[in-house]
Amino acid sequence: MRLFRFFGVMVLTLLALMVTLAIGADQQPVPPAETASAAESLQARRKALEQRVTAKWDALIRRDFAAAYSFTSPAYRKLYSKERFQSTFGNKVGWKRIEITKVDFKGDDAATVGLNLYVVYNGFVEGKPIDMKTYVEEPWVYAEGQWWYLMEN
Amino acid sequence: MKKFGKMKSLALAVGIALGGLGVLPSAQAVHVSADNLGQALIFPYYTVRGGWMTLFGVTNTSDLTVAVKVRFREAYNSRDVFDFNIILSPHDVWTGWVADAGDRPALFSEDKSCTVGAMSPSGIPFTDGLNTYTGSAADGGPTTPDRMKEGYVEMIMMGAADVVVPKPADDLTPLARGAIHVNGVPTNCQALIDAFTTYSQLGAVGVAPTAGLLRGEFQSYATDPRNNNLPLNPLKGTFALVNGVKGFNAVGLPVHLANFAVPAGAGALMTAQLPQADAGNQFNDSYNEPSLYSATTAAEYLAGGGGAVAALNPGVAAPGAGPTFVTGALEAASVLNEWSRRTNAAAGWVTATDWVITFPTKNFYVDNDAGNEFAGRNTGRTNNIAAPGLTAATLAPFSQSFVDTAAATPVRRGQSCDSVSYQLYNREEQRSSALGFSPGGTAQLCYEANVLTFNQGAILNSPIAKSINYPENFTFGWLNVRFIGTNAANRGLPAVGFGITSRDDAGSALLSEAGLYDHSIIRPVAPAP
Repeated sequence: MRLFRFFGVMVLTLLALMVTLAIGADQQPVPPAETASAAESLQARRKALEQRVTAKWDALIRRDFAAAYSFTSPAYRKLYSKERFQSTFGNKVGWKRIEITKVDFKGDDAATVGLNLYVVYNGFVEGKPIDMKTYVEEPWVYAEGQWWYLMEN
Repeated sequence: MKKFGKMKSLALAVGIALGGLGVLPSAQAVHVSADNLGQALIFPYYTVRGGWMTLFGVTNTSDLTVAVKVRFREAYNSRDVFDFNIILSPHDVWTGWVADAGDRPALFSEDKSCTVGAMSPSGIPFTDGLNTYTGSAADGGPTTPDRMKEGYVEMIMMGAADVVVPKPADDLTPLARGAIHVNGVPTNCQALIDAFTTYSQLGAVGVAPTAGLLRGEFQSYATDPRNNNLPLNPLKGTFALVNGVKGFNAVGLPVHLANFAVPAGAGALMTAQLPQADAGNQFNDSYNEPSLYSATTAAEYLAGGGGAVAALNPGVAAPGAGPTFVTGALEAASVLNEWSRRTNAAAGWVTATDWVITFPTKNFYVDNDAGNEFAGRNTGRTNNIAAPGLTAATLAPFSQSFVDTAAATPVRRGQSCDSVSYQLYNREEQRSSALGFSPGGTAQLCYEANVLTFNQGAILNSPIAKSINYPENFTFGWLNVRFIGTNAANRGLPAVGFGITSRDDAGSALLSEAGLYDHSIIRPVAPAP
């Protein structure tokens, strides 16, 4: 009985050693070239996403809702028309520009983009347009080789 | 509202004709003003979530120079997350707004009126607000800056100064005079800033008119020396919710509380813009006051049905009088309003409604933390409850503590829930028979500013919103929210708020819009026990 226990302990110890070595192999320092490559890839993804975000907002700033609609996700466009998309916006605010301040990737196919949105508010009480700024977070998804704005329904 | 105002005017006229037969409101009783002028304003909600920004305006309609405390309270437990003072010269208006600065709100203003602290066109972030609900002040609720992104606002007159123009040789109001505009700009805001931030310049309550002391200059409160000493209710407020992403807005009025206080002595509601530690360790001299606890007059409201003036639940003697007075003025057995939720895009209409129900005096009952100057009940306010802590009697009309450090096992619950019942109708008398609620599944309101949404409409983007889900194919109708907690029996709960409905119209470009409608209320049927 004791012998079996001894061999059992030995087998477990060997297994633990093998697992440790395997993990250790995974944790080997990544060669600098691979790190640089990963960073470049991340930078490229971020740049591609930021271009899409900026292009969508440029379209809204131009009041080109057809163009802005084209940045919404394929799933949204299957369900909702361009007219429906356009109908969700009012005319009390004019969009002026954006400034992207944060990009959080959530895996390979989703990201949250934080941006400062600069608007002019045409409030009738104030009697004059007011320049305002607010921070907004937008969900974006990656599908069919492209980033898309995940529009709420 | 206009009809109600006319009815009140008629009642007053009849009362005057009858010569004091007991149908007139007493000269000083805190009440919700049907005339939309008051000494204290309650803005039921602010938010900076989801692209929303909230704008505020306050007007001094009097001939006096008026100091106003502005306080932002977060939605969970009414902790003070940002406060400052405005000094409005006669007929002056102040405007400003809050927007999301990233992880927290910031206050913006282009206005030139004097404020303490000073405004900045680039925004003042709510930096110190975090201290009021974290560390030793923690209440079991969230501890991140995000918590400050929604709540409600109170603006309370601190005092009024009668500035004589032209300036006399023996000028008794040099500080207040600095708020008066010349060529559109105040002449000396810095002197006011210095006075509000230098404790020795506050002066004692009841001090005689004295130049250079805040309480010596801002001597008026209950009555207006420039208007035959009639009640002074100089403040008028407005607000707007503006969604910068969606491009629509909705505007509303705050609740105006008239005849809020008859101070115990001249300048009693004037305070320094300093924490308690820097204000002689005197809580009532610090920036924590004035609050809605500062009301001193028994509550009244117009009884429904007869048009006669009646005083129900008028308040009790001190201590603890303040919140009871305002609670009495706001008490509601039920809150009612319309809703609309139509999601049939093919029909060309898409609507959604959210409701706000705020209990602006709740913290003075449920937040019991003796040594914490930011708690609703504390030793500075002398309304804390000692061991063994809160009971049904001291919580009433509310039902559950949010914080109770005097309990045998200290409580920091992170919420404080009151039972409600919902009766949801469509526009054709039909009542929903199988309401469900999410999240949680029970019909309760657990915060001080609560958001309800209808079938997940969620236009205010509030993470604390509760959804009222109905299985019927209703598209619009009305809702009755009854306060049914045992402690609320015969008292109701002090509630203010509104419904906001957005409408998208697929037939037209850029016509998405929103409207804001104040709640109606049903008063309790009997005076409180």
